[in-house]
Amino acid sequence: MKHGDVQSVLADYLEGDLPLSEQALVDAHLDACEACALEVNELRRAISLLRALPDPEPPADLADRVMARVRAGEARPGWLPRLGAALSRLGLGRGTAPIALPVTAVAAGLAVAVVTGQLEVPDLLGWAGEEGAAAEQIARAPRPAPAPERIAAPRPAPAPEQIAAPRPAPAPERIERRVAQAAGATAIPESRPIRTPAEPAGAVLVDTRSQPQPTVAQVTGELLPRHIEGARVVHSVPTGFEGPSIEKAERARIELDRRLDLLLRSPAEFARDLRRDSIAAQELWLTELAKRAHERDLTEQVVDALRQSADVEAMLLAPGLEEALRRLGADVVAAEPVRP
Amino acid sequence: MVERGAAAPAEARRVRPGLSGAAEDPDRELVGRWQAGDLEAFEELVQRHEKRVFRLLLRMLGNREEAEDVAQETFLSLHRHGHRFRGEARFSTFVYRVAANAALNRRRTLGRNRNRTHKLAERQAAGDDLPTSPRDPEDATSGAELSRHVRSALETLSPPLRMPLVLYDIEGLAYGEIARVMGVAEGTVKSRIHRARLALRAQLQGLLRAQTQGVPT
Repeated sequence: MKHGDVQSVLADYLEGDLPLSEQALVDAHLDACEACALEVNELRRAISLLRALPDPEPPADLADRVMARVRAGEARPGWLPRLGAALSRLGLGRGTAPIALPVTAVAAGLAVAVVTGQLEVPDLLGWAGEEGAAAEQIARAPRPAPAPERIAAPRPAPAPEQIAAPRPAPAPERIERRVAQAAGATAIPESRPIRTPAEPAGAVLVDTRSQPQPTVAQVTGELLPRHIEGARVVHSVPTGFEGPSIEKAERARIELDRRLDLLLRSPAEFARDLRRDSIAAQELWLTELAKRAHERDLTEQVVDALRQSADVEAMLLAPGLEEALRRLGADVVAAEPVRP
Repeated sequence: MVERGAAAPAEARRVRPGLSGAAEDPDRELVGRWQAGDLEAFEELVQRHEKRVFRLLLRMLGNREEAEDVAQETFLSLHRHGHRFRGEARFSTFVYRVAANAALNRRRTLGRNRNRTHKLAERQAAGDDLPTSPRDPEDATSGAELSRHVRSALETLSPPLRMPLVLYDIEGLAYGEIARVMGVAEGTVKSRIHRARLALRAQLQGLLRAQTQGVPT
């Protein structure tokens, strides 16, 4: 075996992944080639040194600190998973994969909530109450009260990304009004709260039992954000100018095209641009960009641009975009191994 | 002089987990409970995974305080986006992925590391062989000193090379699992690990030669 051949199989040789016959050839070469023998020897010792690094111990209170922040509401999941969790506790959903709940089940759950008067819709969605309490409300599984030190520990300041998250969370009263309207009730004045705090928890603003029953489509169409279509969740990018007007749609499209062009021209710059958004917004952008790239038949180009970028952040965006494209039915081939 | 055969890869030290997902996933039940809203289940998941998350972050960021900070962010992010985990891969892979992203997203840290790498390269080019090549070979053979040199050498590697190396040689993950964590092809993982090892060897060369000459190995 020649020197160059040995170099090309060295990685497999070191891992013991070579067939025995090839391994014997490498061994024979190492007996004759001092440079290769030295390299193999030093590589092995470098690997051993790396593996011998002492195991660092995490801070003893890491889990406590994390849980204090979780309980303080710093890691509130979006409304859909909380809805799914709530439905699953009512026996209406599957629970383990809330986001994959069929919309019919979601709709059924909401319809039940509205028409039976047994549930408070806002509380069910976790929109009522304070930021920190909402997730807790929905996850109010029976469990012992938190230890006092956990209560004392929370860091109240929300993460910057949470503040910046452009997710358009509808105000509770707006949602309630829409529920009520969908259920056929007469219009409720905008300023009037649907339920005063003094009223019992089971009370619902509108007694819909005497009203014509709304169809599932009516309820879902009114209540669920427009980024839910059919049984599949399709996120829409909160560009700040969504709406029915053609002009607004056109502006959204222009912004998507601008980002797409930036991606193709300079993946690193695109990644830097994207990273300014919150993680949630980044994912929404990727989904929308995937759609737009699909429309413009630029699927391969955008994936290649990210995959082949020397910028690590751009490179790490490739899988997310590929996944979004696959969800759209685009044929995305697996990445080719990069040669050293 | 050269040992024959395989280099006693990480399998010898750690059992590499299989790639099939939920069926063998030891976290499956806890994940199900957590996704149904049980915070205690999440707490147990944090306790189960905190060590590996912290280890990865410390090796990637090189700083204990930052590793702790990003570890907290990792678990918060996990809780925030946990509904996206559908059991297609092992939960630990998902955790590693979130931690890896969190490490790479720590832009300031990356920038600082890049500067540090740059400065190290400059110093070495100028003939200063510290810290990866101790002047006194005896220094290098004491455990703490040795670790310091290895950690310094590791920090000079770029994140795309350091990440797979740490996941493979320190965390003991299989190529396929690393590919899932990093979102790259398995072949890419393999070639990056090899390149990272070559770079590590180059960084540690002074130490390795000093060991050979000064201390019998």
